[in-house]
Amino acid sequence: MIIGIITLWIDARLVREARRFVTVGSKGSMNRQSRLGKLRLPATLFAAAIFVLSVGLPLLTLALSTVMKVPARFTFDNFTLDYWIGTDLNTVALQTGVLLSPDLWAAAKNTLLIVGFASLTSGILGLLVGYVVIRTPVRALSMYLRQVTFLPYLVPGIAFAAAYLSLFAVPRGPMPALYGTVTILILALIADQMPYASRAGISAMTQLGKDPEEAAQIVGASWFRRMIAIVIPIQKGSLVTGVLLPFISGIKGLSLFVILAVPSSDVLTTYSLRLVDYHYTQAANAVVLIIAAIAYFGTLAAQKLTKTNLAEGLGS
Amino acid sequence: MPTININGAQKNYGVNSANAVSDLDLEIRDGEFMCLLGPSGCGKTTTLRMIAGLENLSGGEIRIGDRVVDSVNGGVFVQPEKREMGLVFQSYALWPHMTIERNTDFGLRLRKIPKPNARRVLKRSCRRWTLRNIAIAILPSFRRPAAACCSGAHAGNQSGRSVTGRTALKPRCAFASGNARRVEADPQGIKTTIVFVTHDQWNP
Repeated sequence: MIIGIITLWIDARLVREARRFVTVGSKGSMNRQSRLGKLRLPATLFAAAIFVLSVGLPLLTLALSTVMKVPARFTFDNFTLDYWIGTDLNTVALQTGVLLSPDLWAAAKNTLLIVGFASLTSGILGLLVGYVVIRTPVRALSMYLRQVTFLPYLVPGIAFAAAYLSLFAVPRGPMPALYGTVTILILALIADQMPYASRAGISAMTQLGKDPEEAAQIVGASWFRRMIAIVIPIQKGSLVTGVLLPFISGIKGLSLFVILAVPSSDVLTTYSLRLVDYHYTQAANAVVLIIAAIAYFGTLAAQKLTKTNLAEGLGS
Repeated sequence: MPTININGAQKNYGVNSANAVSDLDLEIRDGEFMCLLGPSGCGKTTTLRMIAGLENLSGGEIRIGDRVVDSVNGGVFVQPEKREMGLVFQSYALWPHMTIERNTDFGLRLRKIPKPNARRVLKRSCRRWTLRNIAIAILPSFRRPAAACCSGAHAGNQSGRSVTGRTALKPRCAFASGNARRVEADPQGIKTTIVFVTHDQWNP
């Protein structure tokens, strides 16, 4: 953590030194394509090879491991779909394939609910943090917000969860004891995801000049109105980034949930972990594949719905 | 159509920094077209922004009509959205994500002016600022995002659209900053007090 703080301090110094530019419109950058000429085929192959090696192969291995009784024995009778859709299996627990088990669906629903709500909240909070950091005339507040939203990034997830646990395990003042509730998971997740969301928000607000907002102010738009009608629509891409990044990292995150989740608030990652405990490796891997699929298709759907691009939103 | 009074206006950014505006006394009378001319960085735009309320005074007082809108001693500061003014920005500040139509009627919608009335006001305003060819809903560009129309060939008309939007509300006072030529095309057309800022004597 000390090393992390030192890095953060250096980053803050660098940011202070860097001169920043402001763009008025929403278009921070322009993509220019250039022809690769002779190198086109090798470059394509190289990119494809990297993709296959780093994404394709591991996923294939994982997928194969869910349909084989004994790993790495490629005989026909070793393959089975029982771990996915089997029924009346001769096992102590989980006598059906994962897709047929109600536990999986409950966990999936929990995951989407908790992570979805938390990432939406932290995305919007992130944009607001960006707004305050950039617009406030009080420098100290700006620095403070910058650091405090980034702090959870430095703390290991487990330690963070433990801190939350001891903070909310007993009733404090008006707050009831939250251990075992979905609320504590959402709260911890929001705080945990603020580093991503606030970075996206700050970099987005750095790009937006004051003019569009002041113009709206002159014609009589209140602060709330300006946010809804001007700032958020212009920053749509960055807002989606600020929601999606937390969503992805939250959906595959384990360290927070492993401490804060109880069986009734099981999420997919803890469910998978439980299956590993029972030594149902194949079923556990199947759940992991489902997590990857949800993260991927969730991102895809959000990008299509809002006509944005995660990579672009992050860059500008 | 009020008179604008500036008394002993001071503006600095931080106690130790130099004044951007110091000891400015200015009276802009009802219906006047006032032009502030001076080199870059002499405080014209700052003055304009202080009248509009986008900057607050460090000392002195600004009155519009009988209403004190900014006074350091009196502890008064009226938010820009409550001052009922129009301001044409140097950068035009069109909203890139909205259509030209939305850009021009944003203020009217905000005030919940009934649609037929709003259209009439808008049409009149469009005609005044030579946006005749943008008769509502005839030219497709009127419904296209502003960002698309702002680039390239159409850029020349940006200030026209910007002015249209900002004056459709019949502001009590209107201001223009920088090269908003449209304003002097027909200054008598809108009966209001106008402050115009430029650093170019020959080509305002």
